[in-house]
Amino acid sequence: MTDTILLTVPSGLRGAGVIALVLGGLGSRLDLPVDRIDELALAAATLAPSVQADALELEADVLDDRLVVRIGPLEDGTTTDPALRRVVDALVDGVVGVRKDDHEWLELELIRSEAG
Amino acid sequence: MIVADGRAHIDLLEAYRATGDRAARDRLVEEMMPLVHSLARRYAGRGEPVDDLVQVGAIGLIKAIDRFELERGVELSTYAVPTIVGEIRRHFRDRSWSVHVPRRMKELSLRVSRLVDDLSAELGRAPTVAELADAADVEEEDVVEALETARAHTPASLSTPVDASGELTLIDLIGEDEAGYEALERGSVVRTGLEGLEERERRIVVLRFLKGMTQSEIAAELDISQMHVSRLLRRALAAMHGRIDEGDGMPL
Repeated sequence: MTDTILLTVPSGLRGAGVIALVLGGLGSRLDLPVDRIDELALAAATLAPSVQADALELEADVLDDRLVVRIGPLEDGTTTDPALRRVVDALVDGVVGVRKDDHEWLELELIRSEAG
Repeated sequence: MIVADGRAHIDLLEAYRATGDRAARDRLVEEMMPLVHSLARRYAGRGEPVDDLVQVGAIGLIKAIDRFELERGVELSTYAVPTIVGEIRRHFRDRSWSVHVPRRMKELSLRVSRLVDDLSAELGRAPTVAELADAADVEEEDVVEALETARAHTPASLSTPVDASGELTLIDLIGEDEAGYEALERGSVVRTGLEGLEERERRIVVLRFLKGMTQSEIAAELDISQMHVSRLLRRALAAMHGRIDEGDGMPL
């Protein structure tokens, strides 16, 4: 069963703290180590300044073995920005650019490994 | 009258003064670090990790060495104590929470930060929220909030000058530049993203994103807490975006 959490916060850095709290709670449900949760929150925070609108939208799917987080709507070109991707790709297990409502979004995935 | 702490210290001081021999000063700093540790421990339990206090105490020690005059007629250690203590006190003044945080949560965040390091060493990996909650005897929601509170605590910049010349920075105290930095210079893709970052401040980003080290490994390498690494990474990445706003006070 998949639980989906939807969150809308003001764009920019101030919303990042709220997102970190939410991701911390979701990561806790998956029993993920705190450093991995932290890096997921860091990836989300890295994207926050690239949000196109006044509000950042976050959709989180909590599955048995992984957490999938979609963030948007992002400025055009964000999903293919090589420097940004280099950073974000290193922080989580999977990153996929997706389109939603004609806007760019990034989907971040954190997988629960056997070691935690 | 010259009364320093032994002939060796006098020799090192004279070598440093005469030739600007940085190695002589580094050795002097190293020999006097037990004094810094001793003074830092006096301020333990007041809301700051002791390793952070040792770092700023070391800054005070370097300032004292730079300013000390052999002709003063006092021992270098006697002269250095008020400078080291002054630097530690200034650190407490300067360290402010970016948002209002209840005292209970400040204390819990500090306790949880220490537990992250302790349990990481014990488990060989970072602990989970549940493990931290169990160790701290609090609810998991409290741990999540405490972790975020700890991250919101403003870190000192690694590029803050720590000596009179302005050339020596905090990062000089905790290690040499990595060879990986050269790779950073060559990697145009990454350079594009890091151009806005001060040169010295890039090292922690290099360790994480080019050398692939985990936050815990970086913490061990730099002898700082994992939470401190987390805060510095946020600061560095915020700088990459050019979005650091002193008035905003909201770290990533």
